[in-house]
Amino acid sequence: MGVIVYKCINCGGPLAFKAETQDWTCDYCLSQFTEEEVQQFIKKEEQSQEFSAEEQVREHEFQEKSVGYSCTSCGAEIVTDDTTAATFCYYCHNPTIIPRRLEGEFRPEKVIPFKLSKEKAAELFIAWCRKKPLLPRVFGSQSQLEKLTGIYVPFWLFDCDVSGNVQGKATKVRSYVRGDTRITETRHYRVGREGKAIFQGVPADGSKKMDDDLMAILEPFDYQDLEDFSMSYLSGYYAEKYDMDHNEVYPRVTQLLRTHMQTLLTNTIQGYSTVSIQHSNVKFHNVKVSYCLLPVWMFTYQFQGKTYVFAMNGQTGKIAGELPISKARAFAWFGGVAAGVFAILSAGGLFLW
Amino acid sequence: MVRRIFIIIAIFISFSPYLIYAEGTEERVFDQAALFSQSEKEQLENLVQSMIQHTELDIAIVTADDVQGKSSADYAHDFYNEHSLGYGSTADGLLYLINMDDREVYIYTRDRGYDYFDDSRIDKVLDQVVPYLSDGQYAKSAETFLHEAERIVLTEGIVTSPDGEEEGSIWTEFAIYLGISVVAGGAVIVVMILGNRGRSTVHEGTYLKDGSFQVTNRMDQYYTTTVTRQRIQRNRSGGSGPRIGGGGRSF
Repeated sequence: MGVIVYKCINCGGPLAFKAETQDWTCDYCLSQFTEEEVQQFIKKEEQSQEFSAEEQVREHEFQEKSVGYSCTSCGAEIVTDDTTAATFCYYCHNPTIIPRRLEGEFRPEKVIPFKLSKEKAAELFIAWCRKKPLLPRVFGSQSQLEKLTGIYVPFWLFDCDVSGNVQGKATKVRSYVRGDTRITETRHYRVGREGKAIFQGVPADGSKKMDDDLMAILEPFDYQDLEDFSMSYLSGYYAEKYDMDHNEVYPRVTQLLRTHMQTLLTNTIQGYSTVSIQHSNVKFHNVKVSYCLLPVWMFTYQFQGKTYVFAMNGQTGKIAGELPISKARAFAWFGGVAAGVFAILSAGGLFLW
Repeated sequence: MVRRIFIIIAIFISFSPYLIYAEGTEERVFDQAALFSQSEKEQLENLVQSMIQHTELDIAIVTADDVQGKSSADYAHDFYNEHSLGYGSTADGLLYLINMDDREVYIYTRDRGYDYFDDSRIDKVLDQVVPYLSDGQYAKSAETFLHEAERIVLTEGIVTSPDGEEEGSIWTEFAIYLGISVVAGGAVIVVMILGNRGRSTVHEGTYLKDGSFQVTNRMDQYYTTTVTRQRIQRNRSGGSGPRIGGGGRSF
């Protein structure tokens, strides 16, 4: 059992998870399946292909070393890099899952299934582009958006208790006029705050392929939609397994939480004219981590010889990525605003003087 | 009659030392709070006298331990008038007051003295003298004031009032408008460029468990107050009567 292809129980056609309806609909006979029904299908498959423990070990070693897997539908070799957990057969385009890469320590605990279909994602992207005044006008047409790929990206979610303190100086300034003299009284204080907080579900992506900054902009995901992991959700999308474990991404999380905690504490220093923080200290306790797959639409866009990469939160539609800038439009805006301001100032100036 | 003349002469003679003193080297260091040693006082006196000659401004160093409830500015002003200080017909001059009653230093400027010292220059001088005063080096602070004041008068000259440019040509005005326009256009473009990409919306509350943040300890400890006084300058360029300015600071 190198790979899994979910097949319709009624007609044998390949099944993919549909974001619009949140179920599995067969494209061929239009049968709809719930998660339970799809799960039963896997169990049946597993029963019919049971392996002894010994065989599994051998099989495992063999597969770790082998470069490719065979498609169960057409028999062609499926070539992937070694972090891909779900993909499509290159030849028959059947959605294909490689379960070995989702087992053991690589088995995600939870998954947020895709909420936005490919069409909806493209629509949202175009709507987003329309609002950008500096974008070249030809950019963002539907036809160039074909390379939209839905990927389940491996994320580590951290829960932890945080305690910390900040110390600094603050002033209260009072200024008043007495006779011909302006008197400014500055009262100086030493200020400090100590506190604790609980942070939950702080995400950090565990894939080297994914740009950390791009992924950070997609946040936040709504964890209400977290489901227990089932491979069936991956059918019809790409999926990656992590290649950075939670220890590798932990520093990113602590750095973020450190600044968050400092901000929370500093915000409680109220009623002063100025506050400057000089020392701070943040500690982490009870760190818990869970491994999840979160949905991301990725697309690349070729424009005037340059490749632009965008990512969209497959749940909320939030977009990350930098758009090209049209120099002509930038110049037009600059000229227009500057000319307008100049005209108003000059008119005002001539009337006033 | 003869007796009368004799009495007048006697009175004249008995006052003459004061009159002679007043006509000759007039005292300009008034150490009422006794902050200077004899040698310091003589040294300052010499410095002041040479500076008066160089700058053509009257200069006085005053220390006081009782300002009779007046503000430093009022005390300096009254002292200046009572002692008929001032160089020339318009009473040009500077007065450096160390007010030990309020632990405050004040620089009083008058007429041409006022022309040399605007708020920012006074502030700069105060920046230099206050550390000495906090340290108890009163003579050193006065000496620093004298050197700084002389340097400003002789090298930096009279403060050019910004109002002087009001009569500038219409082209200067347009140049200023053009500058403002370019800055406004640039600011709009910068905002647009920043908006031309997806931005992070994660803030400190995003992953915070509701109600879990608690402050366990607070410290708000008052330790000192500093006071600055600034004379409000009205009509810098025009008007009749004496032009008076100044600024002070606590130490």
